[in-house]
Amino acid sequence: MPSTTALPSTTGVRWALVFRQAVLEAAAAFALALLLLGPIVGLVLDGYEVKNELQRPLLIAAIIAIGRFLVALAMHTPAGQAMLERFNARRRQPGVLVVSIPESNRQRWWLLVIIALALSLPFLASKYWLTVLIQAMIYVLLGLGLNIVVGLAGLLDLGYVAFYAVGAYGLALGAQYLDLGFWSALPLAAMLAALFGCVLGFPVLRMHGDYLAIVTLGFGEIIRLVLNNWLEFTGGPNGVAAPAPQLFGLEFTRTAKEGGVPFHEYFQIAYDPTHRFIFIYLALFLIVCLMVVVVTRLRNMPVGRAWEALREDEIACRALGINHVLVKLSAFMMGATVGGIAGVFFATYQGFINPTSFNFFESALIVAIVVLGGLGSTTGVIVAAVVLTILPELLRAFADYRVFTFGVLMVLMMIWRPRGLIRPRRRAFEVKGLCP
Amino acid sequence: MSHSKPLLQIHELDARYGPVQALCQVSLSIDSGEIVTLIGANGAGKSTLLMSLFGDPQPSGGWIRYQGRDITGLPTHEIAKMGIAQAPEGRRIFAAMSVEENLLMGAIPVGIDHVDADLIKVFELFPRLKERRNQRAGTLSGGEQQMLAIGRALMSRPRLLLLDEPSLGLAPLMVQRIFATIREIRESGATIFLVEQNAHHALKLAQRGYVLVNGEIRLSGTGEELLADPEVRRAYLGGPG
Ligand SMILES: Nc1ncnc2c1ncn2[C@@H]1O[C@H](COP(=O)(O)OP(=O)(O)O)[C@@H](O)[C@H]1O
Ligand SMILES: [Mg+2]
Repeated sequence: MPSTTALPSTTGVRWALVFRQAVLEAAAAFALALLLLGPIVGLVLDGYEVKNELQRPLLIAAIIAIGRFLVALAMHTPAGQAMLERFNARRRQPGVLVVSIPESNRQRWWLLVIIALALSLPFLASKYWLTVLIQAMIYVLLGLGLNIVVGLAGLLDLGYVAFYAVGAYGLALGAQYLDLGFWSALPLAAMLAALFGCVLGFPVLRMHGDYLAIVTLGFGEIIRLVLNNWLEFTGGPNGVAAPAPQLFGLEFTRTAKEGGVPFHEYFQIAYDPTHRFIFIYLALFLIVCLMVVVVTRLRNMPVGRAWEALREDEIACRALGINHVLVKLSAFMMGATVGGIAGVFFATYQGFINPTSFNFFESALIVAIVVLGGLGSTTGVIVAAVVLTILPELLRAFADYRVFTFGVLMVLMMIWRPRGLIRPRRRAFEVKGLCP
Repeated sequence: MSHSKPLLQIHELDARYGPVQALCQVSLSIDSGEIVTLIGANGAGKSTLLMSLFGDPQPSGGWIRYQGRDITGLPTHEIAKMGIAQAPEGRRIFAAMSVEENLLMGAIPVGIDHVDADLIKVFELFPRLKERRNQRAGTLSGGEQQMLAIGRALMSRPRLLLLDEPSLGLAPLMVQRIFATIREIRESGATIFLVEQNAHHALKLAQRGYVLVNGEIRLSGTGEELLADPEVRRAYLGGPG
């Protein structure tokens, strides 16, 4: 890219060059937009046909190109240059660097193997094991969410199941009253759960430890009792049906609702109810992967540091200029959002929900996952969630002693590894370019 | 001496914990570049005074003016961004974080623009911290933790540094070193408000001092005056009654 200092000083020639540059950049943006948006916006499913509606992506790409052109021109005005300079100056400034833990090649291979295994499992598993896998994934998600609140921010939340319920009922009631589909309900239910996280966060801002635990416990029970008793709205103990997910408008049912197309007919394969579960599993897996990335990044961002600092010493945090209200609320809201997403998946996988799924035992189980995983360790939480869902299934042979065996194993585990399965390794910060 | 405008002025400040009145009509002022000390017995309300300066607990009466601006009632994190830093009682370092991360947390009020230079300065002041920069702060000795707490406070480039009993629980040699460092910090231009039970050291170091008894200012004067005062000698310096 030619820098402005290299340009001839004659304004006419300079602007001609700037203009050419802007046109080139606009053309590139146009091509890129078309490539990206073409398949998404341009192909529309209509009954059993895919219709070409190319004028729509063309229009959007044109708008993007014009915008890019204007931005490119604006960047060469004095004001734009000044802005660019400020931006570059920021980047040249000394800053803080996250020291990454050196990842060995072995670890990378293991990661690939695990992902490949997780992706192929649903195609090999029976329907029964498929549902167990989905449950495991839901608990992984719940564990990751609660880990933000308990593991990172150090706020013991015993009513986490409330947000799970809000997500699940968000999908079911959203479908019933607002005619929302799965994919539109997903973000809305997540936001609703975040709102509830905020509502819970405010009254408990000044609480710590045991008191916080009691209040959150109460909050979880309040949500469950409201769901149970508000017959006209939630259906009470009778529960509500939740819609199944769709794949670009294709439904996972034997026969479609009016105007819909079933997945198996579109691809001309035999109907198999496991298709729905495989799809839910894969979608969940994607969300879990996304969540792992998000949580890892958050931990290294200022807000993640603030969470950890708050866990260690709130007074010191405030004395260092950290707004503990915002930091605590953000932890509650992030955790609640993840819980809400897990709830949406739970509802769609069950197809039907009622308040008994959201009792205190669930909250306790999720806390157990986080504690067993080693407060704060993402890998630990994932392992613990998978173990705690699959173990009871394997213990079915012990029938009557199942819960007992489960309890004994947990006690042994805490004796053997009091800090959880995996001790969280913290990534340290270092200052860029400061010699040791 | 008449001063144009003190850096910090506290006027008839009251503070309470529920029914307990911890501070009663406390007035004092600190000028730029001074070291002022506040001495008093355990439970006199020294830490309460420093903390209510920081908005926690919020004062129940009186006012606080900093650089001519009324800061009474501001939330703690806002006050921390105005160039006042505190090394609180009991150090309150982040035990699970490394030494360097603790120092970086101290830079929050001012951002990361000067982090490099400031870190070098703190390491010059406390070479011990430099040797242990990657160590978990919780594994430092008491004296080193105190250095870290002071260093962390310095990272926000404070105009006013509040130190709450920096010598508490330290071996005599370490106490000497901490006081030597406080003098060094003063020479670099900061104003220091030093809260101490170690009256001898504190009064020798400070230009002026206040004596707090049961939440009220009992005496004030220059360091030498207070050192020579019979009441102070009897109560805080183990001198003859
Ligand atoms: N968080 C608190 N809640 C209730 N009372 C407190 C609290 N902190 C201190 N106090 C009381 O306030 C008084 C002053 O305490 P403090 O300021 O810590 O004294 P000092 O720092 O001089 O030893 C003491 O009587 C103490 O018991
Ligand atoms: Mg004290």
